[in-house]
Amino acid sequence: MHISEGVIAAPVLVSGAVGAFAGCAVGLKKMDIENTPKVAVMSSAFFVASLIHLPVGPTSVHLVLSGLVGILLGWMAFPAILVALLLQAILFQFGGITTLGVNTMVMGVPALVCYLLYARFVRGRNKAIAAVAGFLAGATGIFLGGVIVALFLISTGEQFIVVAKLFVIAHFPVMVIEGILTAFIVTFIRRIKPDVLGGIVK
Amino acid sequence: MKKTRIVFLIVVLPSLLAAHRVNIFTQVEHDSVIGQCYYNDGAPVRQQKVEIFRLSGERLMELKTDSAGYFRFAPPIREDLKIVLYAGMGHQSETILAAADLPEIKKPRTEKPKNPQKVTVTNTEEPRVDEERLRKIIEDAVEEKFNALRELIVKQQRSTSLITIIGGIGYIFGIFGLLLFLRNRKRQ
Repeated sequence: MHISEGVIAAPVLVSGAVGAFAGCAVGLKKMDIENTPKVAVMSSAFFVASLIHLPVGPTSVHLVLSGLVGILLGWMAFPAILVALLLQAILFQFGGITTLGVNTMVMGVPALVCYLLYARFVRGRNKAIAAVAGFLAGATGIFLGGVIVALFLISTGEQFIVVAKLFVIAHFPVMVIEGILTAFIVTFIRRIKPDVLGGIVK
Repeated sequence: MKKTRIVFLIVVLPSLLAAHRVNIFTQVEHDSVIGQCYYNDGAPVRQQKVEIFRLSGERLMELKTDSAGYFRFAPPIREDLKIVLYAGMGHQSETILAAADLPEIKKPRTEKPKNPQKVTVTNTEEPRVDEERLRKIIEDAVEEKFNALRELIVKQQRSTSLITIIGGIGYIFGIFGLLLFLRNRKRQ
């Protein structure tokens, strides 16, 4: 999911950075003192998720958690993801400093879309619908990430459909796992501390 | 078509899933450079393009990793080389190979470079070993051990340790904590 340094040309990197900056600006505006700790917790969860490899079939996959971060944070997912990616780039050389903006878009935009699509269902009265919305959010987060990676790679001469298809096929198991995980977490939060979900929307 | 799909699932898929960083590890053996390409969980980067550049940007050669993630080439010139690995789907890595580490470019000789094992075998057969040959044997043995050690060090440097992870979480809380502090102060 992380695009490496040197792959994408400067103009595209700049446009990615501008997009990420705009997202962060809105996110920081929405982030008041009460929910800053929540953003920090989600940011560190996201930071660690990429290191968690799950054994699936012949291989291992890693989590991303963009759907969950989106549902819980909305626009504030942008600063959370940016900070996590910055530290991943510095400490683990995942992605890179120059691709920070692009990668923030790759994972931040799906998070926001998940928030807009599913947050109200997750917060709704019906438990089953909330779980399904959680599942869809987890899966959509990965799926859209692949689509955005493919969009960015058009600039390098790759064919959009080819890359997008390859990415989605390769990440299908992650989509399912992340969907199930997000559904579980959402159900758990609803039962234990529902105001985490409700307190986000201003 | 179905067959290629299965091949894709077995061969390509595992490496794509694990991908968010690709690494190149190079070592020099005799007169060739051997590179090992792997994703950060250790899976080999199979059948991907590798390009060798001069530092000036001129491309010298293009290679492909084999099914175990290795590539091998004999450097045509003895100067700093840049090796770039294209692992697809936005993954790329590069490394610089210093001229000092490169093997000397040998002039074509009639005698072919000998295999280290072979040398030891002939060595046991004849009791008298000339100095040059002995030196070569020692060099080979040291090189082998040294390369193994170097590989271990490089891999360890690149692996993610628990300390780094915990440190990262600490940084995140620190950053948001600072933000909170600044905002709180502004409000007062």
